[in-house]
Amino acid sequence: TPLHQSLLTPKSTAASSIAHAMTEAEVETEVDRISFLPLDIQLFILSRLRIKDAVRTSALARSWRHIWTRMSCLRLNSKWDPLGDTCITQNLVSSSWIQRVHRL
Amino acid sequence: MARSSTENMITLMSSDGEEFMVTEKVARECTTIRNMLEDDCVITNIPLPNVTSDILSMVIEYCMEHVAAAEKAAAETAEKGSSSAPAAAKANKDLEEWDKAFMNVDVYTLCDLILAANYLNVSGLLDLTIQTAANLIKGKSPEQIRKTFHIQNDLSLEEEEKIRSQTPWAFEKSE
Repeated sequence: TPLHQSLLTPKSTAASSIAHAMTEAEVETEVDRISFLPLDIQLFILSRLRIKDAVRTSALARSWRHIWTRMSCLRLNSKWDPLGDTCITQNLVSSSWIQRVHRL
Repeated sequence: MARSSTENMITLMSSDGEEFMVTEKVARECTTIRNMLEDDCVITNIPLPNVTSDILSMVIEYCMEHVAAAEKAAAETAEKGSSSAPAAAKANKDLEEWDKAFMNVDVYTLCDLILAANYLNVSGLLDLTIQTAANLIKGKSPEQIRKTFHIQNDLSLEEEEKIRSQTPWAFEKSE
């Protein structure tokens, strides 16, 4: 069994500063960390998911809205029908991408 | 752990000032440190301002376990001339089990470990932590994912409806 589980308690003052303020009452381990990870790491996590799972993260919160559209590699599963693929591409290009570009 | 007296020791210093003495071999599991050592071979004390002591101790624990497993496999191969396939498979399985137990952490620690593995460039640990995070998202509804990672939903009902209607296939129940 890994040693840390008996010796260390998960607490933490993350050196990597988090861009949001924490109240003292807030339990540190219940803080949202994943939304504040660097984009390349978030994309790395999404790249391990099927596209359906990755796209679903767009409904988590505003900051997650467009993250999946920046994935450089889409993992399509074999069960996906060709029409479905077209649909993804069209959605990707027509809605999310253009909205994102418009915002910039 | 047994080690030869000639083995170089390296001191790693966490952001909160704690010092960890490790063998050079263990330190070299971190590509970032390996590169520092190769640039300047007399270096013995490495400050790591981005990693706290609790996370650094976990990274070291991971590296030690993986170095020990590799050394054991190498010793067995040297002893028998070639490693026996069942023994190697068992060793791999044991290490996988150890990794799995090692990943029994809260999501806060998991994110810290991802950042540390990324900064120190420990490819095995980065792979393991990223996959663990992905597994926590896989097949879950947005509501379940928010709960797991303590994500605040700042979308209005209308916005969430709009997102769902743009990619309805992503929100259908998994097959």
